[in-house]
Amino acid sequence: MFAVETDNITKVYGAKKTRIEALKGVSIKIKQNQIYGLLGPNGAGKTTLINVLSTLLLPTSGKASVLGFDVLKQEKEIRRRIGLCYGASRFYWNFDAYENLNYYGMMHGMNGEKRKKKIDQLIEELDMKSFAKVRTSQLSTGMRQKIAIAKSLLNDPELIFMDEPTIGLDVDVSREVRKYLKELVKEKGVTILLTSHNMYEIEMMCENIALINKGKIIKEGNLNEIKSKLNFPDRISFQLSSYENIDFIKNISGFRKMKMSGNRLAVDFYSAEEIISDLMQEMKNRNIKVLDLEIKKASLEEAFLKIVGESNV
Amino acid sequence: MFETIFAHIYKQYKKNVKNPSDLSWILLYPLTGLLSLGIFGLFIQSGTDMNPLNFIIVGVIVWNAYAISQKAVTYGLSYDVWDECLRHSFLGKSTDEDSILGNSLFGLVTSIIAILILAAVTQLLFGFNILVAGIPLVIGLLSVFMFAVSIGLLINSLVLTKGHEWMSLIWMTTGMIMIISGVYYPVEILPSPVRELSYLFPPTHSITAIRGAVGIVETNINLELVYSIILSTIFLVLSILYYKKSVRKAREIGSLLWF
Repeated sequence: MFAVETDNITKVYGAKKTRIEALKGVSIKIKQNQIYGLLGPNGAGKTTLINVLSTLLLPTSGKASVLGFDVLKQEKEIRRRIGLCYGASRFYWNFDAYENLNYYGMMHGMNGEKRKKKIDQLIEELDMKSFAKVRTSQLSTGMRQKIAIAKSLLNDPELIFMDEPTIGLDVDVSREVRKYLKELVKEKGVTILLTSHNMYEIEMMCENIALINKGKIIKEGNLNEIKSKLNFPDRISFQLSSYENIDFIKNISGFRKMKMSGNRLAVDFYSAEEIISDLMQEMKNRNIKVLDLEIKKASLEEAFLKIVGESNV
Repeated sequence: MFETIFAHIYKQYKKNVKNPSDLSWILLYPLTGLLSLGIFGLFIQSGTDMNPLNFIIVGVIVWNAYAISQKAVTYGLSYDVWDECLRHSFLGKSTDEDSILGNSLFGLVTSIIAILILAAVTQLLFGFNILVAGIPLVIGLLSVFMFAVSIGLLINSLVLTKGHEWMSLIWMTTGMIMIISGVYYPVEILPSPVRELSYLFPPTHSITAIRGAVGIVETNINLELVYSIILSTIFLVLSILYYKKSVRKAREIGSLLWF
């Protein structure tokens, strides 16, 4: 069973003159127990897709299932099994963090003791103790975002939709949250659908991604495969003791091209990580000393800009 | 030179034009006050032999029960709209029915508390005990409560599908109910067709029945209560169906995510 499966989902807002096609036939399949990234520019349709999948928005056409339940007919089943965290979420401003979480715990049907235990656990794990009893209106964006993350985890969801979850958080806290979410997937087997503008974040957290632009999925698959398919290889730059007899490099799997640049040899591979040890061994076997070595990984940002550029044509 | 002053006038003008219900401050609220007290004046002038004090106290207590119950149902949604966190309330196990029931029960409890306080104050200050109305008081108020829930759900439906501008109906409807249901006067004094219209509203019958039960007016108490309960039930069933349809509509057009 897929955590999320959509088939040709469309979402159209407005009438003839104000018609906006937010989703144009989105079909994706997301396997369970992973962090799946949804990457796209502003207005690409990321949040609309999350809203459809979380049953807050009905699609105009197409089919979608979440954890095996139909978003059109089984919204109650879906709602009790998912968590939803929006960036810059708002809560009851005159409740404190604890009261907000208490309310949402009740909305999930959690009884008093279980609810209190879970809230205390989340407050501890997300380091919220210092502001748990402060009115939400007095909290910083980052603190409010922690409430949003805690809220999305209250019901021990099987699937969590996270729309820009680290927005407003400072670098250290973002890192903590990312680590926490990764552990959650590893230890509890949950699935996270993560949207972000932050390509670094997607690259750090996701194995599989979909790139969305203008309501369409324009690329989907393994993050490394997407980068390599787009001809954005990793570059290994060497300074060697000798540049004779180096043609063997061309026979190494994933080789793309090589050229001399000053006194250095630059070689492009699809994935430097996979071949680096073999390459070094071959160098050693041929008595070629590596005086200096530098690896530059292809960035998702480069790939993303290229894809979006192509899809805009 | 005067731009900085005009800026505020411009803001007021644009806000009023874009939100027609704001115009109710110019038209509806003043008219509500004028009409309810004006018609009350006509009632007094007509030289009634009813006890006007007890007559009005019954009307005011029932009207407050309505206003408090309706407020609980509408504010249940309004808090989410004001704090821009509506979407969270549609996730989790809680259903539309849970929301209707929870907010209505809060309205019932708070209106009972208010009625008991008003009854005690009335007894203390005016020497009138409304509780002597007994069962007709309970049934009459129950019907008013059901009607208040219905109107609350209708307003919530409009807010959900058309936007927060419709929230002013929360306050406008209580004024309209005051005029049409004869809080300060018998509805017979209203001109046709407003008088006929008032008979379609359960509070009209509940107020008349309770006034009958405390001996202020002569009426067929049981018949008034039956009318009231039947009308309230019809309003309640229709409003629940409409509310559920509106939630679906809000999911269709995306208005659930506006707040």
